[in-house]
Amino acid sequence: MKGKVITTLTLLCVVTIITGACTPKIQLPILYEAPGFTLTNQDNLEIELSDFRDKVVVLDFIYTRCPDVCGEMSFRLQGVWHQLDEALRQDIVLVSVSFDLHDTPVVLKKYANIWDVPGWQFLSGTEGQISQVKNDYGVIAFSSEPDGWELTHNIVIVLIDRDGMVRKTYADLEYPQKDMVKEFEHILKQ
Amino acid sequence: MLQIFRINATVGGNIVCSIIVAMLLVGLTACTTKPTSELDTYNCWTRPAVMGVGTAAVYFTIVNNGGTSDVLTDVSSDAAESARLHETQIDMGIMSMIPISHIKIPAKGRIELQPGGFHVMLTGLKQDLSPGETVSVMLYFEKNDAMAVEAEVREP
Repeated sequence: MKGKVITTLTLLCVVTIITGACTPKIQLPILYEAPGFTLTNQDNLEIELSDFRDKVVVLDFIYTRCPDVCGEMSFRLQGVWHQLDEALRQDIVLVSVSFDLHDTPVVLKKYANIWDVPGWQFLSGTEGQISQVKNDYGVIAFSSEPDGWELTHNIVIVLIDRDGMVRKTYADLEYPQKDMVKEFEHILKQ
Repeated sequence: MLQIFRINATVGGNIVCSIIVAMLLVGLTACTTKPTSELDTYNCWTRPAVMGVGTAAVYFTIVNNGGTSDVLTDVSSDAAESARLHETQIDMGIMSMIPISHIKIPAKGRIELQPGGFHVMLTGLKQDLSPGETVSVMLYFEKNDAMAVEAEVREP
């Protein structure tokens, strides 16, 4: 009898160790303090990044005339938001900064109506403000043609924790959505 | 008798001529009627968009059931001021959208227009694109007849 108990316990330990070893641990170290900014949202209100302290912020960079990549990125973020537990959703804010000066608050207000995420902030600013934010977050966006409205750009999604620290940046449109959900949850639960 | 023969010959000639003309017409028709059944489209969709703001990208899959390749040469849509073939190219993490003149569809093959790749770019939307609605897009090919596809407005 005693032998059976020991064997069972040993097996349980082995299974626990193997399971633990096989489950990838989410590691999201503090990278750096998220550079602050002051921009204008779709309701024409001045918004500072620090307004969202105590919330987890997911910051990305878009332009509304981009039908392909930016739309896909926004839909992925919306999808991730919808996969979060309802309680966790209260503590996360999606913030999209437009790097296209054509995107005024009026334009962004219309654009915001497409999305089904309460409180999603769509920010615009002056040329100087946007240039600063782009530099601070490593955003590349430029028109490849004179007077062309189509912009060549990279993908930058930044996960910022409640203390305003950058915990991860995403630069790949194909990054698995399920992994993003886990990582957002990990930071939200801290 | 000779007169009758001449008449018959004339009638016969007319018949022969008519047959030849008819055959030519049939031949011409066969040359100009392109086999639309060679191509099929699937999963045609676009994201919600707002008139006056932004643009829309239409995605679909074209399957070529035929033994010869074809080329998608042009697109149009009544829902927008302009419709163009576009490709998103990714180089070292930098995305750029470039207009393209055509998309080749290989024989017995398929081409997928999908996010991050080929798409039909609609600019100057004349209407809001709301979920559940459809947008009509005309596709023009080098060999096959033009075809209309209905893109469902939905999330991917």
